[in-house]
Amino acid sequence: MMTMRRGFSLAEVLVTCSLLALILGLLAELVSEYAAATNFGAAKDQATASLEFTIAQLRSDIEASVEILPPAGTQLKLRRVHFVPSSFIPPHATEVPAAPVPPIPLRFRPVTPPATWEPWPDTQLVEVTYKLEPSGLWRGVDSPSSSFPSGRSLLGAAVRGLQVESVSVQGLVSLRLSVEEAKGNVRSLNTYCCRMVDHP
Amino acid sequence: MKRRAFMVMLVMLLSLLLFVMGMGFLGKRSAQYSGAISRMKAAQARALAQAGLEDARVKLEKDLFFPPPGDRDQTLFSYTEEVKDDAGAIVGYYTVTLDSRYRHAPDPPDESYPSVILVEAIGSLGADSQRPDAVVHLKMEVDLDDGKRNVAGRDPIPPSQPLRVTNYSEE
Repeated sequence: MMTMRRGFSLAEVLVTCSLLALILGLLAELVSEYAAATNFGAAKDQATASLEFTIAQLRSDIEASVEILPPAGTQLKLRRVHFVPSSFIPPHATEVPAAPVPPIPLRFRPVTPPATWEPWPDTQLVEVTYKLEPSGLWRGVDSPSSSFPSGRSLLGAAVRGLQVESVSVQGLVSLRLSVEEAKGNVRSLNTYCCRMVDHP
Repeated sequence: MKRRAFMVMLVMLLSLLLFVMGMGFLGKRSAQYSGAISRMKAAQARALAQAGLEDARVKLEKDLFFPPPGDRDQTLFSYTEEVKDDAGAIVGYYTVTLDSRYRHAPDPPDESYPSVILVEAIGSLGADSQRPDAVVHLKMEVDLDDGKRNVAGRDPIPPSQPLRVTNYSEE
C-alpha cells in the first residue's frame, strides 16, 4: 500500500525550525558585530579625513606665512600673503605691460620688470587665526582689504584639542592635535610644520 | 496532490537578504578603502611637487646659468623629470616652470632692481603622465638677490644667503 506524504512530521519541523533559528541568531550576531565594527571604522575614517584636511590647511598656512605670531596654547595666529587661486602671477606684482606685438603669444612677450618689488605689502597680508572652540577648530581670516574675503569657517568639527608651540625662530612650529574618532575615543597626533618663506 | 514549495522560496529570500547585506557591507568598505588610498596618493603627489621645487631651488643656487638664458624674450623655462623607485619603476613626474619675467639683469648691475623668479612645480603621481592618479601644485617666489639689496627699508639679507624664498603657496 502506497503512503501519501502531505508534509513534514512534527520532529522534522522542530529540528528544521531549531536549526534555522540557530543559524539566524548566529547570523544576526555576526551582522550586528560587523556593523558595529564598520561604523567604528567609518567614524575613524571620517575623523582621520577631517584631521588630514585640518593639517593640510594648517601646513599650507604655516608654510606660506611671513610671520607667526606668538602662539598662545589653543590658538595659532599668523600672517600670510593672500594668493589668488590658479593665478601664477602674485597679486603684488606690478607688471608693466609689454609693447603690443600681436603675433607673439602672450607668454613669450618680453615684460619690463617692475622697478620696485615689495613681496609682502601690508595691503595684501591677511591675518589667519586658528582657534579651538567646543564646536571644533575654526579658521578665521582677517583681511585689511575689502577685495579679500574676511570671515570664519569651521575647519575640523572632530578636533577636540590644539596645542601650538614655537620650536625655533626660523618658523618651525610643533602642533599637537586631538581628534574624537568615536564617542569618547580621542586620538592625538603630533607633527611639525615649518615656515618656508625667508622673512627677515 | 498540489505541493507548495514554500521552503525553496524561503531559502531564496534568505539568500537574497544575505546577498544584499553582504554587498552593502562590501560597498561601504570599498568607499573607505578608496578614500584612504586617494589620501595616500595626494600625499605622494605632494612629495613629488616638493621634490620639483627643491630641485629648482638647488639648481638656482648652484648653477649660474639656470634657467638657461635662451632667447632674449623668453621668460618661461619648463622641464619635467621622472621619479623612479628603487626597482626602477616610475613613481611619477614633476614638472617645474620657472617664470623669469620679473628677473632683471641690468648692465651694469643695479642693486635697486628686484631679481625675482616665480617657480611652479606640479607633482603628478603615476607612470602615465596623461592620466595621473593625483596632482598637486606648489608655487614659490625666489629672490636671487645677492643680499646687498635692501627691500623696502628692511634689514639687508646676510651675503651668505644667495637665495631666499619670498613667498610660498600650495593650490
